[in-house]
Amino acid sequence: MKYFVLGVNHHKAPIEVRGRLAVSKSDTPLFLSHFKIQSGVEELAILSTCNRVEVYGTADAPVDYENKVRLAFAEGFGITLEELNPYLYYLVDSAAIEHGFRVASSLDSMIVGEPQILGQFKHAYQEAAQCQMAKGHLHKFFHRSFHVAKRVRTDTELAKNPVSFGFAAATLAKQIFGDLNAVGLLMIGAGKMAELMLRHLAELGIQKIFVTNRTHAKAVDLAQCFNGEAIPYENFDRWLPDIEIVLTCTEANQFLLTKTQVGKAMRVRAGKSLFVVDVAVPRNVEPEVNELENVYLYNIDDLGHIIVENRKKREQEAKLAEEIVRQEAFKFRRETLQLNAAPLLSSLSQKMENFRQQELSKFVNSKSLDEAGFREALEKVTHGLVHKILHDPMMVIKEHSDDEEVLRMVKELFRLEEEGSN
Amino acid sequence: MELYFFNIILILYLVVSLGYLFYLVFENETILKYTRHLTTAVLVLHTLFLGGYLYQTQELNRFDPSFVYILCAWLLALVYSIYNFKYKLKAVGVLVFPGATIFFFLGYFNLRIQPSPSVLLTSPWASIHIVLSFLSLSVFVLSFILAILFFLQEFQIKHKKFLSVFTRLPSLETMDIIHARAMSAGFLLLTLAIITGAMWAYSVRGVIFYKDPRQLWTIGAWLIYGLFLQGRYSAKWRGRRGMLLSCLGFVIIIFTFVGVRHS
Repeated sequence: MKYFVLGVNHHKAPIEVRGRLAVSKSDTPLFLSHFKIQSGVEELAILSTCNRVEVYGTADAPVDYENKVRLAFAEGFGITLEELNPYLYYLVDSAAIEHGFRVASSLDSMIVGEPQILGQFKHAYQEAAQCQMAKGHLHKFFHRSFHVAKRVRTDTELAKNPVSFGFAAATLAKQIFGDLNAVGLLMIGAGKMAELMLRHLAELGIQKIFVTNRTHAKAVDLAQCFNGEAIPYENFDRWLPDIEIVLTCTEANQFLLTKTQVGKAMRVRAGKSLFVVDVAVPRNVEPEVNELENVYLYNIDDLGHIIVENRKKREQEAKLAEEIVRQEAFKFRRETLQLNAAPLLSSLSQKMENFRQQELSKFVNSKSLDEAGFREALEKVTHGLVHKILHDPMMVIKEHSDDEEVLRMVKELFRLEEEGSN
Repeated sequence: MELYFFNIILILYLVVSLGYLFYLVFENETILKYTRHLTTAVLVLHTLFLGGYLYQTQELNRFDPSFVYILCAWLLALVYSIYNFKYKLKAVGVLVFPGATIFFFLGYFNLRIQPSPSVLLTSPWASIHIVLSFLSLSVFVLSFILAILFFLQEFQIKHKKFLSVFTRLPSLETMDIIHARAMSAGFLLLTLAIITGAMWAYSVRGVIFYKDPRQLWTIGAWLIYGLFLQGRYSAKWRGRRGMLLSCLGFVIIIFTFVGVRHS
C-alpha cells in the first residue's frame, strides 16, 4: 500500500482557480463518497484551505490510479480536466509522504510557519474519519504528520517570530498586557488593512472593541463583524482613558493623535500602559507620543523592521525544519514498507515452521536411538530440512536463470557475495 | 539522614536553576515542562524537610541562622510557584531559583553552627524579629528580580530592540501586578520586623529606639517602600517609576543587612 496526494496550491494555481475548488465542511462527505466511487480508491481525506485543496489517499499502485483520481477530482468541482490539469500535481509514495509532512508543518504555506494549517490538517483527518474514509494507513499517516508538525514547532523557532503586521502587533500586545481578555481596543479607520489588523488582535480574545471612522457607516459595519461598538469620529479621544490598545489606519493627512492628547488621557488612565499601533501612511500618530511614560508607539516602519528580521530568522529555521521533515518522511516510509512486508514474512515463517514440524516428527518416530543411529537420524533430518527450504528457491532460480534481476535478488537475499568475498 | 536529605534538596535546587537557564537560552518547552515538575518536587521535599527540622528542634524562641535561611529559600520557591501557577512566569525562575539556592546553601553552611549563646539573643522577640526580617528580605529579593526583568522587557518594547529572551519573559502587566503584591507583602513583613525589633530593644535595653544605625537604615528603606505603596495605590504609579523606587529600597535593605552593624 502506497500513499498519494493530488491537489492544487498557491504555488501554481491563481486565486481565481483556487476559489472555484473550495469544499465546505457540509459538502465534504458528499465530495469524498463521490470521489471514492469515481476513483475506486478506498482511503481518502480532503484538505481544503484558502491556499490549497488536496486529496490524500492510499492505493496498492497509485500510478495506475492517476487518471481516475485526476478525473474524479475535476468532476467533483464541476471543472474539466483540461482546464485543471496545468495546476494539478500528483505525488506518490515518498514524495507524497514528504509533501504531507511539509504541509502539516507549515513549510509549504504562503506564510511559512503560520499556525492555522495544522488545525486545518487535523480537521481534514477528522472529517475523513467521520465518513469512514480514513482507515489504518491514513490514520497512521495523519497521526505521524501531527507528530512531525509538533516536532518542527518544538525543535525549531519556525513559528516563534511574527512575519505579518497583525501578528507582530498581536505578539507585542501580549508581551505588554499578557491576558488580552480584559483589554479594550480602539480602531481608528475601517479599511481593509484595518480589518486585517483587527482580526489578528481579536483572535487573541479581545472582547471590548470600539471602531471609529470618518464615514460612520463603515465603522458600524466593521464593528458589527467583531461584536464591537462604533463611536463618533469627532471626539473619539474621549474613549482613550478606557482602552489599552489604539490601532490607527486612515488616509488622514494630519496627526489624529498628538502627544498632548495622549498625555492628557494618560493622566486620567492612572498610569496604565497604552499600546499605540499606527500603520497609516502618512502617519496618524505624532511620533513624540512614544516619549510618554508607559506609552508604546509602533508605526508601520517599526513593525516592518521586526518582520524583516523575523523573516530572516524563519528562513534559517526553515532549513532545520526541512531536514526534520526529510528524516521523518524517510523513517515513516521505511516503517510502511516493513508493514507491507508483514504478511509475506508471516507466511514464510509459517512455511518454514511446517518443514521443521515434518522433519521433527520423522526424527521422533525413528526407533534406533544408539549413538550411531542418533547421528544417522540427525543427518537425515537436517538434510531433509535444507532440501525442503531450498527446493522452491532453486526451482525459481532455474526457471529464471537468464533473468539478471532475479539472480541479483537471490544473491542479496542469501548474502552470497558477502560470504564469497569473505 | 538529615544531611543526606539536605544534600538532595540542594542538588535539586541547582538542577532547577540550570533548567530555567537552559530554557532561557534554548527556549525548549520540554525543558521548561520538566523543570516545572522538578520545582514542585523540590518544594514538596523542602516543606517536608522544614517540618522535620521544626519537629526535631521543637523550639522557636532561639535564633537559629540555619533555620532562617532555609525558611527564606522555601518562601521564595513557594511564592514563585504560586504565581507561576496563575501567571505562567516562564523564565523568571532563572533569577528566583539561584536566589533560593543561595539562601538554602547559606542554611547548609550554618547547619553546624550552634545557635548563638549571646544574652541579647535569649529574648523571645529576637528570633521573631530575625525570622520576620529575613522573610521580608526574601520577598524583596523576588520584587527586585521582577523589577530588573521589567526594566529589561520594557526597554525592549520601548526602544524596539529585541533580544532572544523577549517572548520568554512575562508581560509587563503581569510583572507589574506581581511586583506590587510582593512589595505589599514585603512591606507588611518589614513593618512587623521593625515593631518586633523595637520590642526586642525594649526587652534588652529598656528603650524602643536607641539611634542604632541599623534601625535608622531600616526605617529609611521602610519609608521608601511606603512611598512606593502610597504612589502605587493612591497616585496609581505604575511601571518604571515604581520599579525604580523598589530597586532603591532593595539597595538600602541589602546594605542594611550586609554593611551595617548594631551599635
